[in-house]
Amino acid sequence: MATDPNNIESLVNRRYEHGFITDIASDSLPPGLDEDVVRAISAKKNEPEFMLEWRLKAFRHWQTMREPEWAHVHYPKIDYQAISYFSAPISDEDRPKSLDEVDPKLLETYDKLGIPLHERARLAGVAVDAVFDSVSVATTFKEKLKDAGVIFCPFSEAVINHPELVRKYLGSVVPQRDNFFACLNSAVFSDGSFVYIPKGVRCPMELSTYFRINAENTGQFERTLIVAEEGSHVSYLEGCTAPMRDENQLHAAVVELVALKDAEIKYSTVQNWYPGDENGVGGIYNFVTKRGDCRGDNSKISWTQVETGSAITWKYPSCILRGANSVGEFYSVAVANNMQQADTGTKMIHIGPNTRSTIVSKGISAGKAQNAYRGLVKMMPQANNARNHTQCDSLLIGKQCGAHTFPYMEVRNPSAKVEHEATTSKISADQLFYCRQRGISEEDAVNMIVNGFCKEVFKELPMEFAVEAQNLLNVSLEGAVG
Amino acid sequence: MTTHEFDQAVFQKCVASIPDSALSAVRHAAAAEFGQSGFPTTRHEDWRYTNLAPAIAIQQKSLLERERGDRQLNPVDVIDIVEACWIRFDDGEFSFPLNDLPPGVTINRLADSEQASVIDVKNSLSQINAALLRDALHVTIAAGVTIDRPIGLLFAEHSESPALANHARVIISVEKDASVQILEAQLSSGGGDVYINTVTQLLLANNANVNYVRLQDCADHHVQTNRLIANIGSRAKLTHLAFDLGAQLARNDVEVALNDSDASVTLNGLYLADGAQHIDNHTRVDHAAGPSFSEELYRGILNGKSRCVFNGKAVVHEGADGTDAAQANHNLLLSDDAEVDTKPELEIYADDVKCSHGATVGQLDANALFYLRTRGLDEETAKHAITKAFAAEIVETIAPSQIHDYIQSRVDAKLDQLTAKNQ
Repeated sequence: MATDPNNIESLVNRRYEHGFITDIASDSLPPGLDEDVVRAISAKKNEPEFMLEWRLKAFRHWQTMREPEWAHVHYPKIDYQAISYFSAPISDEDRPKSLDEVDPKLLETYDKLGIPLHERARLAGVAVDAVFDSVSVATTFKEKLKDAGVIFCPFSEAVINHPELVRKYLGSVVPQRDNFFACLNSAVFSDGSFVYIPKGVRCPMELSTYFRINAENTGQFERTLIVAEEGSHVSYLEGCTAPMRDENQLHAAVVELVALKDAEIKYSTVQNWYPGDENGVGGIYNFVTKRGDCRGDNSKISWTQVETGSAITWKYPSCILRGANSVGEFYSVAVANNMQQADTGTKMIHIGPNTRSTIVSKGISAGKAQNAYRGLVKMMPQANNARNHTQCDSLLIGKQCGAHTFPYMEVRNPSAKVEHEATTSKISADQLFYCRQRGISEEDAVNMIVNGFCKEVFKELPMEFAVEAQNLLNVSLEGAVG
Repeated sequence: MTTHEFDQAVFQKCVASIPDSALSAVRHAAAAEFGQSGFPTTRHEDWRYTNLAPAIAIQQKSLLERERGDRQLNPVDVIDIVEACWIRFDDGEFSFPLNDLPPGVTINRLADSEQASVIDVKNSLSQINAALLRDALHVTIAAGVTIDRPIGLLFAEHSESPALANHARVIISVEKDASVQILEAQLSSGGGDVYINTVTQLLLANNANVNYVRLQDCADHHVQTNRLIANIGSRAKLTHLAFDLGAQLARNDVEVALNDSDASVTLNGLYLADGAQHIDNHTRVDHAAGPSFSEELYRGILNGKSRCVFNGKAVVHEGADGTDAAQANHNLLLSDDAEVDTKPELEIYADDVKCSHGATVGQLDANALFYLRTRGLDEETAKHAITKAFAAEIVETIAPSQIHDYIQSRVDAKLDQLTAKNQ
């Protein structure tokens, strides 16, 4: 293919734009993990007794578990004793009450990231609960949400102010013992977001959180819990970006969604953590457990994700379709370049009758990256007339990358209908030639084709994210024609 | 049952009791390896849906009851229906018409040849197979020869004694430019518990052409595992059609390596299960060089409490540019209690490729049924017609021949049984 190799290389080798470390005082625990660390984390957050007990129970079980090895990823063994399990930008006691009180350096960080917090919040009407490292530092639009009865606050606040809700729903979708990383998270989770939408309320704005990892050697263990009561609706946006560093960082988050009768939750993610350099040095290990429970009839949970970052991604946002007529959706674009490894997909567990699920997964591999789709569609015997359609496409850019598909389909109901389709190909020479013939530069042609490849997923993203997603894709791949 | 319950000591003693031959070195090495690995369990990713416990139980009993009484051969219909050069394995003992081999075909016994090292022992079932071999056959099709009469491989078990485990191995070398049609029939009868574990190794030299039809129609209480390992050379072509109708538990592994440019393989399969049958088909195609071609279509019809597993894997290795791999698996569920677990996989390490796979699971198409009803067919006939059409897509890939007619009759009999139970 007629492509200038130098040009491609320069574009592919573009440095990570968000790589910098903000130098502010961190109140961190020393590296290491034992019961005392779990107690210390709980004490720092002034948690009630039940929370500490819950953490300790998880920790005790975690010690008996083994790290999973089945994913199609390779990485050096993680030393869990070398990680610091708590880091807060400033001590809890003088936590800022409003944006003005926030450390200016922190605001500067957001500026560098191109996220003018206050402006964005005002202009876009988005309430932003910004997580810097592990503790939330600024929350806006609280009043407006309060009027609607919506609770949107840092998880640690919810534990203190709404213990009954936390107690009722925490771990009810992702049990402590679910898997190795979820169990670790249950023991040491630092903070995250808590959202509660009361009965019949349509959340007046899109909720969004910006996660950003900072402070050397600190694993980040968020815990997000979203509960949508009967007939409610919420759209939640999550975006991530992290500073450049050479040591791998472990990120093991847990996200739990509960949709009751007629409720709808839309959860969108743009993940752009530091992927490591072209030799695979550094980068984030992203081992995440995300699961939604369509508990009530006619409920709906929709996952949309654009994954461009992280050295290793291990993530399967799932839906348990328990309620009759409930709907699960999964739209994903996963991009892996250089030495990145992604093993991602979804699980759709159909339990209730007439449940429906749609899976659209687009994987793009470039450089020496390995990109795997791993998904499970399970039709339980009671899932009469359940329906699934899975479309899973891979695009290969370059001779040394890999694209893999591991779909599991387990069907135990004859009236259920399951369909899976997958294709793998490179950018077709014909398409490229056609565009070139029309006077479109090679660069733009590739962009067009890649964006077209991902269009089905991008159109599911909220407006705010659609633009960011396209930019991310361009940064990650522009010009990388095979 | 787990591997721990398999008595390795008894097994090793049995291996040691087999008389020495040219196979000894390979057998003992395989026995040592099996001693380490044992039978696979559901904790192995490749075995997560299939529990070998019934096979292990029969194997264990068979090792303990080495002595058996007089054997009576039950008649096997395929011999009379399909004209072929039949190589028979009756309860593991082979016989073949030494004086009536088609020109270009030679058969060697590995126990008295120097070729024992070709025996593959890559997985644990092949290891136990190799360890317990008294002999194995090596069939060679000479270069440039087109064999008109099919080669038949008959595995028939007639045992009425309580437990019998048989391990058979056949190696087929098809030399340059040769062409052959092979019919393999796994037809066990007899009231005893039977476990049959066969391994077939196929070597296709450049430009060789093999048309391989495999029928497994064992008695409903028998257990069978089968592994086919095929290595395909440049411009060579393998067509493999597999029909699984019988057995309580059947597991087939088809592993094809496309080692050179323009090698190609077609894998088609049909599995029909009812009652408590468990049929597991695993296929793996390695595209080691390009351009190479693979296409795969497996279809299944399930009734009763049966469970079928399909796992198809296409691996495109680095440098296998120009690969074209297509794979599909379609399943029809006729009952509430049947279960299908399907997993079509792609593992791709090259970029100039065209790969696709698809899988579906569902019940009879209501529209098709309605259409036939409007044409005056009663529901039963309509259902039968659609089910038959679903299966026909695989059966019709066999070229018109005695083999086609024989398979058709076997498939029809099974389909009648399936749809009858659906009333």
